[in-house]
Amino acid sequence: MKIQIIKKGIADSLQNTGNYGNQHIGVQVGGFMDYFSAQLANKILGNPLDKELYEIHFPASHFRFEEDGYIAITGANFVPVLNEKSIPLHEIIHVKKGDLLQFLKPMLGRISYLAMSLNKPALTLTNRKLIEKIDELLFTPAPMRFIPGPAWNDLDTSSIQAILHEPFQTTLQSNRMGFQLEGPAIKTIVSKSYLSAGVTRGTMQLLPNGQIIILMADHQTIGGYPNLGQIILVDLPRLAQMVHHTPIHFSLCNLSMAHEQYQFIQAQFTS
Amino acid sequence: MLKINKNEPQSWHFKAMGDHSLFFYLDERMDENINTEVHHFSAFIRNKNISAFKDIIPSYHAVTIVYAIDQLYAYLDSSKKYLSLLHLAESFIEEYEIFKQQHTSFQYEPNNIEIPVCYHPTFGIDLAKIAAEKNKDVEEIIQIHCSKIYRVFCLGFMPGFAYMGEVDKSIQSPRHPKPRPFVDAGSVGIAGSQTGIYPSDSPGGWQIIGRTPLSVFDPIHLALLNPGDLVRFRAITKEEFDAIKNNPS
Repeated sequence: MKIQIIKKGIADSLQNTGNYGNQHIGVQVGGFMDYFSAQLANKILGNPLDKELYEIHFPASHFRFEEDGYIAITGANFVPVLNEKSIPLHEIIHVKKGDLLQFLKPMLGRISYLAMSLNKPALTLTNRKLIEKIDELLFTPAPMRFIPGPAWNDLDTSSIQAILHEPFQTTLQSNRMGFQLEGPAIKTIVSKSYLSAGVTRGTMQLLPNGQIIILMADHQTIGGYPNLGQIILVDLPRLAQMVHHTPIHFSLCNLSMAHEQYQFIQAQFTS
Repeated sequence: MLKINKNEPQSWHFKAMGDHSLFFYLDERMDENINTEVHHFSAFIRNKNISAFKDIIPSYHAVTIVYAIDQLYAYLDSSKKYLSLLHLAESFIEEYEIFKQQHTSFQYEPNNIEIPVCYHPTFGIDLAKIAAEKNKDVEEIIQIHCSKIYRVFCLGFMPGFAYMGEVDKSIQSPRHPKPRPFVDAGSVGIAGSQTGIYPSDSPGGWQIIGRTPLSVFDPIHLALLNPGDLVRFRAITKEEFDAIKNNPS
């Protein structure tokens, strides 16, 4: 569906599930920050779940539709308006050639998704349930679950205690590459130097200033900061939606639980 | 053909790194033998052609496999060989050890690549300073930089940026304490025991000693250098630089 950006937003981009396969030559993966909301927008419209769509940050672009079709908006609530009339999230919206889409105000969350289709889809009951489920997963406070990484055992006891029991918070130093947190100073037992090695989205790196950064979609392919652990995939969309100064608690998770949760939620998208 | 060094056995270990990657590692040292072993192991995994593996990332002492969870379980079901992800990881190490016992050489064959570099002062902006610090002529620094064959340990930082080593001790120079906001594409730098080339204009903290006229990365041809490649630098004049730049082959 043809669409024109008539005023460019601060960080809007077209995204897909990420371009894997070239990390060994240093090419970042990218892709949806909040893959729940992105998949949901596509599912509402009956699109393939991995279809490319607009990822919108606030202040958002102003869009003009160049043909008739259908859209769905998910994720953050930036108060979307069509021709200056408010439109709901998570609904199939009919748009006409020339219609103007704008976003007025960041009310909840930090990333919104705009999916489009030329064909009229049907909103199903299963989608209704999924919408509620995803909304709950994204915006209900819960601990960030992680699996300890290669440098976890190099932490001193008080740092381990701090990560497991004390609050951290998101900061303004957050973007598509990573979210830098603020919290108790974390340190390793001995200051050894680590060799750079492959990292993934969700990797918790310990910065030289004792703070933690969590790598997000556009992270570099290898990293040399101590690798403390990885946030599990099903908790990353919730992190992606956190505006700055949102409190974060961490809790330990194991591999089988992480895989079970991921497959359970993915199954609801594909059903 | 690069031989497997059986006299210095390195034993692989692994960890599940989060819920969508596996981390295989050797002793944590920047060492050419360890890194050779990394490229052998990485090639061994890559040659299995498992589509659930989205990326196989070799680094100095480790190989990180990034996998798609759904596809991985489908693969485990269909292979009937591995009981679980961790069993698969363990088995990979065993299979690799057996493979090594049965073969004297391996699939991993490094490309030998010569890279023309112009060390003219307009490009090698830190060269005079390094020469002064090392109490050497600029010519001598260039000659030492060109005299070695460097191994591409791994790529990272940005698309196509190859970390190569090891630089001769006599010309090693630490990173600038504060990175420059702008380094030109093609700039050749030194950072401690490593040398590298900036594939595109970017901020950077390496000591810049020259520039190559070659394209180091573009989205179509991808990277000039690949993990494990062997690289030699050849000094060229400013005229040769311009000629190659104007007529890229």
